[in-house]
Amino acid sequence: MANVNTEGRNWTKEFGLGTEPLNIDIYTSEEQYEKEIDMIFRHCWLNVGREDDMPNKGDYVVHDIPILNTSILLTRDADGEINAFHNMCSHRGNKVCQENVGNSKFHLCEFHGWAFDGKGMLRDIPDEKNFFNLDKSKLNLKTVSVDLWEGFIFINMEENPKETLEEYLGEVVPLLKGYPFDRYTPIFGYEGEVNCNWKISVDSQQEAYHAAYLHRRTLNGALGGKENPYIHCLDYKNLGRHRMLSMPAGDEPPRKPIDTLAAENTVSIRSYSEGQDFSEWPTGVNPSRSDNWAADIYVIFPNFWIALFNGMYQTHNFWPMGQVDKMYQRITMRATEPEKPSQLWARQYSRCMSRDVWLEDFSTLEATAEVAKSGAFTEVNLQDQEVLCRHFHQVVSDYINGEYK
Amino acid sequence: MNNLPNKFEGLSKFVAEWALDTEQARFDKRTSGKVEEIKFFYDAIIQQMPDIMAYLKDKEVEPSEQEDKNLLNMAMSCVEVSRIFEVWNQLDVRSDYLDPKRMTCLGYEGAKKLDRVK
Repeated sequence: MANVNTEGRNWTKEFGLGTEPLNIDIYTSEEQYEKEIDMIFRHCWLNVGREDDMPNKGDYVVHDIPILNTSILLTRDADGEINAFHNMCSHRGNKVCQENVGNSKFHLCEFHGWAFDGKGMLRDIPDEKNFFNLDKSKLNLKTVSVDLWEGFIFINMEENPKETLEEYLGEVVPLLKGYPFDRYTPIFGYEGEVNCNWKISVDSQQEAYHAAYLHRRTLNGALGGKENPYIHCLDYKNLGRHRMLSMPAGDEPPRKPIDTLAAENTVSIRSYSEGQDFSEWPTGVNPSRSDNWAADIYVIFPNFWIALFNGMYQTHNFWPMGQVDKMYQRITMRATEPEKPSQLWARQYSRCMSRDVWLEDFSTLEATAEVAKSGAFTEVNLQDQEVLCRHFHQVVSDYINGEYK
Repeated sequence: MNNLPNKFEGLSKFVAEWALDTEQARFDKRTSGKVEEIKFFYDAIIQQMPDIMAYLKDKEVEPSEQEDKNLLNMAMSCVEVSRIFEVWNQLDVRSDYLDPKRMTCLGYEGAKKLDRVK
């Protein structure tokens, strides 16, 4: 059975997009980059991890976000609620939290010992009586707009965001309602700085065309297979500013000894959906209800990416780093909690497989960025299966031109 | 000294080098090694992997006995090096990839808590 029945569709047309090449400026223009920070990152809801990064009361996590000129302190307060603050003491502006992660009932500024609790309330000022007419009620930690969706934490730099997080996510919310995000626990993460425009990396993660060649060894027929050698996707969805694709599994991908053993011990990144009953699954997971489904990728505008597999999911955050050609990427992976060492071992297989796929992806980023700067390479031609890249650049363009509706 | 469960004592000579307890350590061991030396370990352990998995199925997820921990960590190393012989025919996924040392592994080595490993 052919595993994809979408031949003859023209996704680019269905998305309402043109077919002309894209100007290389999308990756190199400093003017565009500045506008992206001002008109996108300062206004959109941005993912900063997940509730399970800070499972216990008193847990905190700090995210330094250079493009927003701030450091964000996330806390889980004494009532178990998640809060977001500018990580700055209301006395002289020193960073309240110097550690990236930790657990503390109070946050004491190292400078003069001002103490704040997990709700950001100013609780103690040493030698308070020597201050002049302090209004303590105005000296709590400065809050940042924060909201949660399916356990993912999002912040918004607007004091009163024009849209709630749910409104912002739009169609993504009903499509993924019911996916067991909270059942899966962290198994792996990877992060680092890469010398490329942030959108070069986003683009490398929103099409399956490259997997047929770049990942030919690592994935070795796991996607697409003989009947679908160029990995034409099962589905694409235009979700306003967001977008998704659905990837086909290979028909009979070759399995080597370790692949086989891993598949026997737990669901793995190369588990396949054949014979699975999808009737209870969220409508946005394997939306075409294919027997040959491998994974879905949701790209949440502007810089958050989720890949949903059977029994596990992965996330990427792509952060511009203050220069047009510098970015920071953070990758995490979560799966069913293992009950036996043999399952722990099989998870290790998924970790290695994923890491190696990412290293292959990373191999292209800096080279692409260097060529983009050369001036010799002027435009990017995208085919129909790269429709999500085209959609992404259209949304970015609409935002920075004030035309996004 | 028996540093592995009795059934697997034939693999004992590999424990010191390959029973590594973090992803980063296993990765570093592979990428700084030589294919021929790694093959010696891979050839020895791969035949026993189904038995090792069967044995580990009956244990606690974080084994309390040092012999079991060593066995699990060697099995983890087997995954790490298996790609060389089963997929790439070379030491690394690609020769031109981004130097992995530029990335930080956020290890969740079996535990739920995020633990930064440098």
